Amino acid sequence: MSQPPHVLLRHRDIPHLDQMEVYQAHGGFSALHKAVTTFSPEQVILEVKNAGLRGRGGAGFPTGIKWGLLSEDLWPHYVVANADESEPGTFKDREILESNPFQFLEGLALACYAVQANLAYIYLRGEVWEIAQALDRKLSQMKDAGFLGDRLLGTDFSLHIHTHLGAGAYICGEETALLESLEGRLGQPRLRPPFPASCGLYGKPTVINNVETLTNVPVIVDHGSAWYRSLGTARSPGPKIFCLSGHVNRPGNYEVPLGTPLRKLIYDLGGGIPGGRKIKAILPAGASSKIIAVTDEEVLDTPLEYESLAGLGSGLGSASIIVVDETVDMDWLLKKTVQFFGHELCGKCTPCRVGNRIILDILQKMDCGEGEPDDMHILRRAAETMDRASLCGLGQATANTVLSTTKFFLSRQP
Amino acid sequence: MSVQITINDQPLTVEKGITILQAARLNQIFIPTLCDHPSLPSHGSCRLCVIEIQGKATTPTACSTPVEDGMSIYTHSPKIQALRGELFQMLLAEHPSCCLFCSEKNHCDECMVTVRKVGVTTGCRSCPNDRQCEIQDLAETINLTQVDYPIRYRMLKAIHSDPFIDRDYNLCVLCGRCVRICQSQHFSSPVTFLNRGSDIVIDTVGGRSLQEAGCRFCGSCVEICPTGALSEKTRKWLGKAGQQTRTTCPFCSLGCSMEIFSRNDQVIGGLPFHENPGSGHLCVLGRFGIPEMIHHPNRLTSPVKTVGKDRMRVSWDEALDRTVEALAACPPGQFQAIVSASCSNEDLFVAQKFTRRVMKSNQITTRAGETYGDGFKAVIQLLGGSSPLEELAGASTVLCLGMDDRYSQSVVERDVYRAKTDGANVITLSPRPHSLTDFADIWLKPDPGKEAEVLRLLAQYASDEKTRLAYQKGNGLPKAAYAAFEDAAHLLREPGRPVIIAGTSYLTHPDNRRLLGAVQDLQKSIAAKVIALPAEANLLGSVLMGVYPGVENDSSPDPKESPELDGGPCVTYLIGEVVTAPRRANEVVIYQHFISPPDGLEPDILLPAAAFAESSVTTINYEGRVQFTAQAVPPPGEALPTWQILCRIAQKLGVSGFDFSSPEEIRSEIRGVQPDFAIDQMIDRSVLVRRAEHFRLTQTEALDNLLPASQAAPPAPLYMGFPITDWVEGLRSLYPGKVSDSSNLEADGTVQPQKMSIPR
Repeated sequence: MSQPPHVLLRHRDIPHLDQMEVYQAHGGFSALHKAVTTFSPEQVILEVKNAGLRGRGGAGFPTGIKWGLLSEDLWPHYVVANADESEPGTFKDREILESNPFQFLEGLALACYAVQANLAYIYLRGEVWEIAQALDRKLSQMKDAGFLGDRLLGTDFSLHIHTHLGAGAYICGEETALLESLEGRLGQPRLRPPFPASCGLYGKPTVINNVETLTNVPVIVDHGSAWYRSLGTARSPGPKIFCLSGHVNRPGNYEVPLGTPLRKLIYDLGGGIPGGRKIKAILPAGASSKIIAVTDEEVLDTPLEYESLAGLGSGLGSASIIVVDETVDMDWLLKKTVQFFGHELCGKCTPCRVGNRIILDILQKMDCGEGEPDDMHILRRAAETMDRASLCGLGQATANTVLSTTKFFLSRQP
Repeated sequence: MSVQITINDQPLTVEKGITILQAARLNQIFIPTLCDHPSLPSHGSCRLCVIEIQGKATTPTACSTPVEDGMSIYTHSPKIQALRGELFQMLLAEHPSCCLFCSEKNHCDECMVTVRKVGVTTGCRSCPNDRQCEIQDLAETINLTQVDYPIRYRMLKAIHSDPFIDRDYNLCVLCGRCVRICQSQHFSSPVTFLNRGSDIVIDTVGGRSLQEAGCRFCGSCVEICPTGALSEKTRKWLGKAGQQTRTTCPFCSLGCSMEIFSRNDQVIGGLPFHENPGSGHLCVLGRFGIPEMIHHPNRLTSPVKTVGKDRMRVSWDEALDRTVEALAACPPGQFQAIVSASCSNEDLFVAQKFTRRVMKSNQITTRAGETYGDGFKAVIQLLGGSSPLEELAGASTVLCLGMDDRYSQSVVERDVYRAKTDGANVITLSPRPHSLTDFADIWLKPDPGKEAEVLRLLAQYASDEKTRLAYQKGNGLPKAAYAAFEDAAHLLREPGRPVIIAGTSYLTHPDNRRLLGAVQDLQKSIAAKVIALPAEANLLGSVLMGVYPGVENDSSPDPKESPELDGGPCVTYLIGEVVTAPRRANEVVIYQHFISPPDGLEPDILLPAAAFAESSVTTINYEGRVQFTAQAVPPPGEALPTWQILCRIAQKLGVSGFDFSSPEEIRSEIRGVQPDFAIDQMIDRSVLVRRAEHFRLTQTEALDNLLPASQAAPPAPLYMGFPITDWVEGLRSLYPGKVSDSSNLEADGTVQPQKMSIPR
């Protein structure tokens, strides 16, 4: 099977791409050079808009539009790269940061140029301090090579990038909690509005982008939006890294164009299910997915893009496909997931804090065989309340799991 | 800019940019909330204010959603009410709710059948917030009758070890109001959110005590807590107040406006009142100290005479007869009255009239002579031009002098913090570390006793090289600190509004005459506003009423002769003051106070006076405002207001002009000589400055003996001759250095911990 050259995971085709000379020898920083010296910031934004790049962190918001939302009346602007990758089953940003860091950093620099931010932060989860140290070295190399610092490439634009380590909290991947944490406060989500585009880091307009999103940007600037659109589908253009895990023979990161059918990913690339067992369910977006029940083989022909998965009552999210085969007890899966969220939630809002505990209490009770007929009803009530009233997406994540699981599996039980 | 919205089909025009919750509140539409408080920014954690907006599938919270033109909002649609009910049930699944849902509830008031049926901590009627609880109110409006969700009790240990405040976080609903009010008012976080997930709690970091965590004990958190999680130690079982009385805090010259809560003729607590001065804040003294002071077991409730070593209760008639007898035998030159500068204007006016008219003496004074020494004139001059604290808003640079005490007058500290967040530079000058040194932009740290030199240099500062070198030699600053001094001098000269605060410990500093002279020089050289904050509640009133020899009140001129006190029968009349000087021969000491005298003072006659909140009188605060102190409760037992006791004695002695029947009559006589004397008005302070010229006061102790005291921790504030720690137990741990009770002093001078008695 011939694999077209990687766009994001280029290090798989080019060895030692994490070294400055190798990266530059393969066209590295040409996009940054071209943009800063010949493009206006608006042109960069327009190019990204035309490319139809959508946020790869989970929400799928069009990146170019996000950049265009920043208030022009309030300065300075900031760019924050969200490298707090902590969703169970998601490990794509880590590979980029470890093996193709310069493409990400170039993308970050381009984003800064597009919104005219002179200061950017890379917020990394606390556990990956080694990556942060490596990034610091790359940043100083970039500075030495003239791709960072004051009066960049002889223009008036100046840029400085800093890394920042979190303290190991899943919630800090939520962008407003991330900002709180970056400012030195307790990582709890902020109220929205105001959105970060108008009042973000230190109260200033801020762009927050996922690592993978930013890694797409140099390609778009280099090859143009028309080329970029030739990959993927019309509604979801571009390549995407899928983190395949669970019951597959070859788990790992796979870069394929959006729109690739699920079956191809699982069976062709992932090598199918161990022992040829049947797939029971798919978690398309890591632990916080709405679980897709594979009751019908046709589900596997769904193209992997934002809209078609939404059509299945789920979502692409960060594209962390966890495959669950028929040997798994869904009650167990549900309990594990709720335990994870119960450990990671910040505790700020009532529905998420109390709802998680209630759901866990009931699941544990059921586990001991002490479930009561009313419990299913209460479980769903709590989850629905969490879904409708939680402050941020984390509360909805638990609710998603519970509602999608109970709908497909537990409803068969008394 | 305004927008058109409808709430529950009611068309409204509201200002653009406000939230839906604010719009609803402005139009008297009730949306249930718990975490939101009008004085704090939205928090969005309780989610109870969910609403429905027509055309939107989501159910956003009213506190976080700004109004938009054409919005059609429903606050109580069936869908919303159901969701709100669910949310409130979730909240109650982790908050004890037996006071809300109990099958016996309706019969409970009748026969209290259920009091033993529940655990104490979760007990229905044993919650400190019972019947004054926002959760109870919400349960009623949301009309909830049961909780379907599995409930959880957090099993946290209630914390009773802090002064004044008890914390039982089992009752906490994690609305974060206490954390947020402290951050927004004191810019500090003694308590914060700890842990995460469902283990999240509010507490101090590392389980420290509130005091260690930097709490000022202003009580804002207790006031704002919607549940019984935070409660006042002394008040927690006293229930809801029956009566609220708007009054003025008596403990210092700030005169913060406050409300006294009373029930069954007992003062049970005090809360700040949202009006200047103080604008909604009190320090620990006014917030927590008043009930313990007023209802102290040592209150004098009836006249007492001393026979030998014994004290005997007597009737008013007998006490007055003995008093009159002693006074009649006393020649004018042998009488002296010592009054407290914390007494009211009415009391002071009658006291000086009594001294001058009845006793034909001019020997009336306060203890200001000892407190301020020969700097008294400078203090009054400074007070003559003292600006209100509101000047701090919009100040460019704030120079803080002598604000060493982190507990009393913490209201000022809050205003300094606020000024700093608004962009002011804060400079503090003190030889020792104190609460502001961590916060100020510049800490000027002179050698003890050299503060005046530093101030003078700041006043004379010029930036040319020659004078610079001259300064560096021989000024009070260590060389390393010179850069800070120079920065401070520059900041004070930046264009804007510099403000100097002269705190209590500067005014009473042994070297105060030179210090305050230097402050005045500095004030002139940089055109600064000065705020002077003496400790005595009515220092200006004492000058205006003329309770000093030579400082005449026009209505009663000083008698000509003022012979020296010598042998023969003599009387010392202590009015709300304590003086433990050695007794002279043949001296009769009359002690008129609301609290029994301390050990070492053995008066011959004890007359019980009314305390604060027991008579309707006035004081004058640091800015020259005449403030009203309302009567909230009657004086206990046979105690009478000070002025009334004096009038009775005068009448017994057959002197006319003392037939006042109410404080208002005294005020109208004061107005006769002081036409601008009116409640809530500013008096003309230039009169006071002129009068201060006539002071005849002398320093009592040599300066050198007193100077090391400036290195010590600030002593407990005094009120009417007593350290307040004598009455208010909680304050003893905040002011550990000062224990007035000599019985706790061991032979080697070490202080033994006081025996703690159970708070009432």
